[in-house]
Amino acid sequence: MRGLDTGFHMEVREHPEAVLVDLVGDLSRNAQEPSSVFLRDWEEKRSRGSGFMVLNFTGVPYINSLGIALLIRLVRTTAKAGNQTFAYGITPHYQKLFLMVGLTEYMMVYPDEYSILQRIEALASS
Amino acid sequence: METRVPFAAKWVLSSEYGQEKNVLSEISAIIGRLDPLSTRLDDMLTAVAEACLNAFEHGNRLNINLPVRVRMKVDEISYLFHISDEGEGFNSPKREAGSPEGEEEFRGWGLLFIEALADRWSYGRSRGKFYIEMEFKRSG
Repeated sequence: MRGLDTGFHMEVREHPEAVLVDLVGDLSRNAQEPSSVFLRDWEEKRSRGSGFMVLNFTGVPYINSLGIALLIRLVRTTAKAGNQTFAYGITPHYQKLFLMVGLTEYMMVYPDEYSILQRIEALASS
Repeated sequence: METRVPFAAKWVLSSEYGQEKNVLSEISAIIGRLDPLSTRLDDMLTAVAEACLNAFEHGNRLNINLPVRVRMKVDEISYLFHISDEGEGFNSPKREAGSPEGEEEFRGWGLLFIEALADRWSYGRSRGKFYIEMEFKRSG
């Protein structure tokens, strides 16, 4: 945890039923630009249909309220477009914080990516 | 660093995002030596981080020339953290727990976290500085 904020970036992996997003680095103020760029791309590509987004937090060592604010904006914006967000790799402590701010109403937390993809495949085929 | 109870440490930070992480790293190491099995470590780190961020942003208006001071005291009973800045204090209430309603303003969770995570917290002015003080029981 030493030092200033580590660089943050978002790596997107395509999946037939979902967009998988690996979050890498501290989710703090420095995540503002990458998350804004991601949202612009998302709105251009996904605004006309519903879909699923999976956020992978295993590469995020530090989250503060500035990062949570960005996350809320991201998740709410995509939810308004009819998308459903899932997340994994979140420590119990950060799950507790997400629950406090109501994030878990918009983002379902699972233990791992496999469990999420199974759920998405079930939702997509129903 | 020798770490025995009672223990005290202090840090002076410039008001810049990310500076809090240096303190968090040292606090984590200290608590690791004093209470290696502590279940409160993450709560303390988040509360201190949020108090520092409030001090940087709302207290010192991100003026890197204005200091934020962090003091840590540990005794047999508790951990005490005292974070002070050069500002006037709160100008907005904390957010309430629950659904993040509101289109534009997704901020203000710091005090909510501090209130929820600390066993006791208070704020005020002392010697011309605004401070937040937070206590965590060691047995908690």
